[in-house]
Amino acid sequence: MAQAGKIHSPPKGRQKEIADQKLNIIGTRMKRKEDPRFLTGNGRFIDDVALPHMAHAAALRSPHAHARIRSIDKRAAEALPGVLAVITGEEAALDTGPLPCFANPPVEQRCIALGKVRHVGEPVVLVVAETRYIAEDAAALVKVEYDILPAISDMMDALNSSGDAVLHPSRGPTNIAEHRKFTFGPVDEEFANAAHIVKRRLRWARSGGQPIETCGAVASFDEGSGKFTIYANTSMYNYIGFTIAASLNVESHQLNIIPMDAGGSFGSKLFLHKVPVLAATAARIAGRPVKYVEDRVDNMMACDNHGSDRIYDAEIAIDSSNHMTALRYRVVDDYGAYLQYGLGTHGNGFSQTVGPYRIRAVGAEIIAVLTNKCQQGACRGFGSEVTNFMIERMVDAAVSELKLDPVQFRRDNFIQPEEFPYQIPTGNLYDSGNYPGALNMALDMLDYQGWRRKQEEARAEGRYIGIGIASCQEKGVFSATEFWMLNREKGFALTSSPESVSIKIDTNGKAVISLHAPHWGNSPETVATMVLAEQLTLDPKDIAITYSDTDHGLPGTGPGGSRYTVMITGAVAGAARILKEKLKRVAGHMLETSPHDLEFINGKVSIKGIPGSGKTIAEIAMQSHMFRLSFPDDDLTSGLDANYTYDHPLATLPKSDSDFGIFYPIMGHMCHMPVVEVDPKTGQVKILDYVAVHDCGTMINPMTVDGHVRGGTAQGIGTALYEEFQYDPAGQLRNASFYDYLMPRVAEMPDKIRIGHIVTPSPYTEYGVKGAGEGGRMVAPPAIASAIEDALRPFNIKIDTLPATPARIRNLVRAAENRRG
Amino acid sequence: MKERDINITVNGRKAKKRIESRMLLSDFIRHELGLTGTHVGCENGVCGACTVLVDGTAVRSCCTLAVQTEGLQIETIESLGRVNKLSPLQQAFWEKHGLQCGFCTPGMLMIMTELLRENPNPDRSEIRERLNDNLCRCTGYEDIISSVERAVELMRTEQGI
Amino acid sequence: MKPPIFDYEQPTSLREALDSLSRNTGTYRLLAGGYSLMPLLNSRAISPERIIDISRLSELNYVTGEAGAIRIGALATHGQIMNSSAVIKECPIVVEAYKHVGNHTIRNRGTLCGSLCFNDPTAEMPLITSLLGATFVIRSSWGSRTLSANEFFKGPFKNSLMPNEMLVEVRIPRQQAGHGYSFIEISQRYGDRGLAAAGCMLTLKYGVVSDVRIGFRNLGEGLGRVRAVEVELENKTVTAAVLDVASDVARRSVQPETDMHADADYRRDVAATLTKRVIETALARAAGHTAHTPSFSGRLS
Repeated sequence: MAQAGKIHSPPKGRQKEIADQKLNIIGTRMKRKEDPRFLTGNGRFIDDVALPHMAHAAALRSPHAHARIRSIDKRAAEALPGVLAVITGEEAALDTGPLPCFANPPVEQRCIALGKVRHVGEPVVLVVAETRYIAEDAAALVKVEYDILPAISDMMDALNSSGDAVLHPSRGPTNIAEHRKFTFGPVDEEFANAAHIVKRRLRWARSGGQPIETCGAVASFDEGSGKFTIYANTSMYNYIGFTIAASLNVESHQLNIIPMDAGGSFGSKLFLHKVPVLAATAARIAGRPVKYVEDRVDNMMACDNHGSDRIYDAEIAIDSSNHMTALRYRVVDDYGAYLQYGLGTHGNGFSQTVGPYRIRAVGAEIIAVLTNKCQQGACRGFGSEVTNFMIERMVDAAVSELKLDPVQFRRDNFIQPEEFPYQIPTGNLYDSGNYPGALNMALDMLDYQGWRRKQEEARAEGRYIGIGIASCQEKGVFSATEFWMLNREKGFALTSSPESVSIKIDTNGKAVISLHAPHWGNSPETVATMVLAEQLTLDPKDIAITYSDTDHGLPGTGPGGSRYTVMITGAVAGAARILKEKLKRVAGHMLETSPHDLEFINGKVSIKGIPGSGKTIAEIAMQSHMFRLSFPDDDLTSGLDANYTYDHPLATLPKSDSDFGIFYPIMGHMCHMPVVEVDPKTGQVKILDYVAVHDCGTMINPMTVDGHVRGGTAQGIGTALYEEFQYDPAGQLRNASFYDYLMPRVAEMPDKIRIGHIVTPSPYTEYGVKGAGEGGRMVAPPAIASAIEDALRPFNIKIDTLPATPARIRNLVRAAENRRG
Repeated sequence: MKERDINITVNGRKAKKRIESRMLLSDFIRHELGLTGTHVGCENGVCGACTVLVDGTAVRSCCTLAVQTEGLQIETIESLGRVNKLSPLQQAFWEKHGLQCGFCTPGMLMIMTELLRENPNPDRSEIRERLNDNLCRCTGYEDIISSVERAVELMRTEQGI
Repeated sequence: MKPPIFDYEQPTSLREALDSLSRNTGTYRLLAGGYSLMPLLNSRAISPERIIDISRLSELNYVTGEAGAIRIGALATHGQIMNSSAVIKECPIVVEAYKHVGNHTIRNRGTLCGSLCFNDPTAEMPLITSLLGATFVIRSSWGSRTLSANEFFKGPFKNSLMPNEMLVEVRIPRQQAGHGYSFIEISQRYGDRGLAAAGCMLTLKYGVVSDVRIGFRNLGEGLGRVRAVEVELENKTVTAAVLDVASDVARRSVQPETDMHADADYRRDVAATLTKRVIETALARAAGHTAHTPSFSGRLS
């Protein structure tokens, strides 16, 4: 059992670059390295790939949510001129096995449905043709006969389903994929001794990242070598890419995955399996390279990355001094038709399950159900944004029921700045933070008292303005243990989640950094450039970036879980140390000085205290590459390059089911305060003002951090007000288009989000950097819900369901009006 | 006719091809002409990533048949500038972090090119109104507005105003 | 999402287009702006055998105003119409409604007539043309006829065009000088398909209201002008009590449906709110005040 509180003998960690040092490039708003190619239309996206003799694939999507495939008549499709292959699930299964799955026991998923379909949009047949147009023509000619099975579309129905309504009968007689209870600390005791208990039922509807670019792959199979080459806009290829080879029944070195720029991901391209495996399977069967790029309908219905879909019954125990002591919840989570990440999205939540508060015990009952919908995957926050929503709604509920002040209640319950590193009941550690500081900065920037006055004036005029407050955590840098620690039987209990870079300095002193994970829009090229430029005093213009495929890749877990900036900073710093040592060694010979007397200044390696004495990196590099015989005959090697693999800065093994060890300790924090106006007659919401205070430790590039704050907040506003995948009772996805799946446009955003920064560097990461990619989406939803509730306080309604659409809000107000009158 | 010869001018260059009548302008530009800077996000006419200019007017190329543009002038992102000679609009987006993943960016640049030609001095609300045409999932839009405001400044400087 | 195969024609004159329509050689759809038709083709919701591209019929591209009456040709785009000085002057409700129609890019090429023929039940302009008393000029290769709005519109996505006929012009008659008007749409996002919309036009003289036209959109199939609500105001001085009655009648007259964005109860309830607001705004405008001009968001103002 993990005792909640300040850790008195904190782990030492491996930090080598402290936060508090003079920096020249890190911390500046350097223009991005990535931009010129994107600005000129020269990005390298998957649909830009054109190989000689490349064919195109289109999927025939299942029209039914749940059905057995009785027969497939593909003769008319095959006869269409230009069609190369029409592949059924059975044909694919001859040489292609199940897709990777991290749940244990696994839930079997195939790239083409085998035997039965489990959600609308699941591929039933894959057509390969000379053009995508012809492939779609042919797909329309395939005749499939189905035996319809009962469709489960409501998660509560899934709790009780049996017989033909069970999606995976071989896994068990029900649609309950997992049912686990966890106890962290003396939960029952705290509730028994509570002065007050506050309860709420909360509903978080499923939404999704929906980047503007869908998922795709171009695959070819070389008969001569039995090797696949797959271009794909996926990540994790240099981490678990071998599982794709396994699905394709080839050895891991018989597969090369080549990364592409991703047009956004937000988690949905974290680990593509179906799309690359489909393209590769088709290439092997058709004997030609095959491109399979999802269209938007394919993606919305079958992207394998819908977000969390939960109902919480939560309660908080509060003592007589208004301190929250314990949290207890039962959550039902609708995972859809498969379970690729097991309960990972709940493990994620366990990393910060008490929020920024001193709650000392947590009890969790998690019920994962399977239904006839697209499966969940990764969606910005990976489940912990929902935990944040739950916690902050409970905080607002406590404030409301106990008639307390929302600001003071938070202050009284915060973990204090002197209490770090802080261990939370699940065993995870919070490395640093200043929660009162963030709150105070937000109050100040918002002019909180000013808005409270305006709120009162507005109420007198019959207008409803509300101020929302949410103080939430943003975990950064996951440990691989969270992939399996919630499994009943652990299965493959991996513990590595490293990040590598390879850096070479060429004969002319120019640097090339190879990244082993892809570009999602999160500025890795800029970060890597800035860190190397800082370390070696190089000009950023003298640094180029490339991306390694799996043939040339080193371990790289990639972006996700707000980890990438931290990890490549560590990797580049590590590689830079190796390069600096060698540069000094060579320079030492050139200058006839000990390397210990040398320093890097303005692109030169110079003798300390003797300005103008140095050699440029270009000069050293030339010598290093070309003039071996100018140097002593010792263990010096020609060339100037370094590979470095940076492992998780601070992770420990789980100890038990009530102590998961340290698995996500780089802990950022946000305080958001939106001001909204609600029209109680129509339920419409307008955002009048928005302050966002973020603590992501040291910022490598504040401009790109702010970009992520704004973008994440926009997605959070989307989740709060507009976004929901709507399945009808028969499991049909009613809004599989951008007409009806509503994402914020500029009109939905406040004119300016005013951003403030608190900086509490991590003691564990290089330069003290923390993650910042997910934060906006992890705090905006409860902040907006809080604001709407505050606006409509005279009606005493509760915003317990997201999205808070006009109909939902108005119906709540109308019910309140009816109760009154 | 199920197939047609078309003659159109793209970025100042004449293109003459025989294509299926049903071919979308977006596919024609990307795959027949190899100009992959124009991107496809939805094929529904909603996201605007595929925006190009046809005779100077912003058009969603995913909802336009290539044959409809017979004899017309098409401008795509490739016509705006080069890596070592960015247009003021492109330079402004670079300075003000107007892009993250870059996928919606071509559509944004084309629709703003249309706006700035119509009105070289738009105010913030006019920029927002035009920007509402297109979806971005990365930036939250604010940096795009700043980029266009910066472009206005740069263009004024260029003209010595 | 690629279109199915079709035969494509690009007539260069109205005569040629009408002749093509009169040939009974397979199902066809007319293509003008394309923003209603192309999504249907891309998603293969429809598979017409022929696509007749009328976008080159420049003879149909006009917006003219003569003695207060407006004539809009089939190829006039939304953008041209909402920026036409004649339209702005004579029927400002059109301009107000246009804030909710598509967006700038759509309005660049989308045509009013195309949109009217499409008759999407959430679209705004069918209601506006009803309120304005517009007439629809239809031609075929053997003649022409003119219909009222009521006669032209026939339920969701349906119109009264016979096979081989084309809508060539919409005529808006001269409106009462100084009339009050208002169009309000409730949507989740700015410019979205509306959850519900209402439009009102009226004439105000010595405090008494006449020539009242009130209608709704997306509050019941085929719902346009609702006479039951109009008679509650006709020839009256509009007091708070009159407004209450009118909005209550509206609430009871509409027959909204539940869809994925809003339930029927919400729509019925909001019909009452919309009725009050459109009437209040129309009255204010008729009385010469310029209050209630729509803000950027088009709502909460």
